[in-house]
Amino acid sequence: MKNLTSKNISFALALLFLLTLMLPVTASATGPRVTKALFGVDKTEIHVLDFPPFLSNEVADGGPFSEIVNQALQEAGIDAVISTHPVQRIVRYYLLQENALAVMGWHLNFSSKAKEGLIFLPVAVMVEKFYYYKPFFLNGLNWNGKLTSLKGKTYAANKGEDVAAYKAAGITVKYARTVGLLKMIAAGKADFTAIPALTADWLIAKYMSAEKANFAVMDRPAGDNVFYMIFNKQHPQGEASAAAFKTALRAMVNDGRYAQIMEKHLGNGETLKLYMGNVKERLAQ
Amino acid sequence: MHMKFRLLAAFALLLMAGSSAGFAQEQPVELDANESPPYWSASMPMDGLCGEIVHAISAAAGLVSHINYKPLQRLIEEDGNNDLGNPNFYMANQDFAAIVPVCIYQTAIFYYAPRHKKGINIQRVEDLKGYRIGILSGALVDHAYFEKAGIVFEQSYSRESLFKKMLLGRIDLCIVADMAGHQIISRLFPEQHDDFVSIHLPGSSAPLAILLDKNYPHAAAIGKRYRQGLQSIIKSGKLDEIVLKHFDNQHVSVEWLEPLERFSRVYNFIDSEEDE
Repeated sequence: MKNLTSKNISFALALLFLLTLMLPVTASATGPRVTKALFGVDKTEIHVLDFPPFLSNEVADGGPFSEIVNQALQEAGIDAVISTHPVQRIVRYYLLQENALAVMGWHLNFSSKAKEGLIFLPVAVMVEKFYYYKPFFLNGLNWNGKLTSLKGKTYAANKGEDVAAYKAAGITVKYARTVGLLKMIAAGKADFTAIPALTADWLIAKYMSAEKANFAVMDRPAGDNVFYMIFNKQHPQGEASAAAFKTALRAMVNDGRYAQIMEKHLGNGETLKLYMGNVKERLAQ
Repeated sequence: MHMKFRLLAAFALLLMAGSSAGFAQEQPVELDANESPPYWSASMPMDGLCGEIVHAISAAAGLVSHINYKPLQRLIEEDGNNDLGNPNFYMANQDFAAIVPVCIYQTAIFYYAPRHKKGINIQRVEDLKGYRIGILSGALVDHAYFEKAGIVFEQSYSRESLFKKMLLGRIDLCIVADMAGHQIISRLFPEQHDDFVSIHLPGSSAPLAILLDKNYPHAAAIGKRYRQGLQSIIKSGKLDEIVLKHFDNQHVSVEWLEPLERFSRVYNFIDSEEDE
């Protein structure tokens, strides 16, 4: 089973790599990126958190989440373009300071007061895995499904992540952005971190390829996490757009188009199941 | 004795404060860039358009900035250095104590007017339909969207070849950074300079910034001084003077001010960002 999963992850990454070949790095630094947004001065802008390989300018068609959301927006009659940003704080800025119609991301850490003015719609439910750095744990590191089995360890958390359960289990928490989590465990500043496997593999391949063999994953999944589309009630079209988007996304989930897009990007194997969580049930709530 | 100790402590504090303030004044601030003419270039006077702006800001702020040119892959991999460029490009892999947008770059569509005597007007995606459009290899992101809209791109590995193809009539339009396009035309086709037309895309503004690494000594204080230096050269007219020189006397810096202020607000939070 482990080999099968690893084979499927390799297949999904190979698929994503092929799609990425269309976007060599030279273009992103010295030339404009030819996107829908380039011609969208009169369109509504939706600000999203860069989240490779699921949502990123570095993936063809912006990755599966981007393609799903673009299609749902189109069907909902929302004439919008997606702009990606590298950190949560910028996404929050556009939503709360510039009153954007909607944003998309995870671990956005809104205050309870801010949450009252927002409508959260799940776009994807992803399984996360716990990663650790083998040279610091020569006998491996594992957990039994209860966080208390990792008591005394240090957890590298995404900025904005809800870490109450870790703290309650006696685990020290340190914060970083996603790529920083991997750097933190590689530097011995934290013992483990939770990341979707495809994202971890993507970031390691891009930024830490020489250390790839040193990263290890715990067998038992760390849990689920949700990537949200968040509409702004303060925006004049916020509530109506949220309702239309929800209807369109539910239709895509129900008639299989959602799964088709995910398959196109991730292949049709065990890996796909890790990112096809209970979005249908969550949308029905 | 107690008084003597307090005097000594105060003296020590003064010395520390002096050395801290003096650091930024005496030591050049090391900034890394990728060779990207005409924005950053070792072969251009004052390091190109944005380089000249950085040096003017530094002079106004009492700082000295030194620009080191490195290959792009090295800039991506290094995560403990100061950078110059589009913040989005670097922030994926690095945390910064200060990000100071200093320059705006925009995207433009160019065409060769003698082959399109009626003129071309492009503002919406739909307007691109029917034209053969050249872009830099790898620049296309929303592939499926454009394909569905019936828009076909021809990709080239150099900007120069895009302009040569336009002149030969092999493509109708090309999409490149505005200043890079103007520079290529001046360099390769000086006699046909006025035959090339550029269409400005108003939604394409992006910042080029000074990015100071979170662990760089006195980064937040230096960032503050860069910001003050920028305000100073805007007020004195120096920014306008530099931009006029590089843009053949077009007053584009006026169009820069609004996006520059907006991006300054967007990226200003980094200073106060703390581990949550």
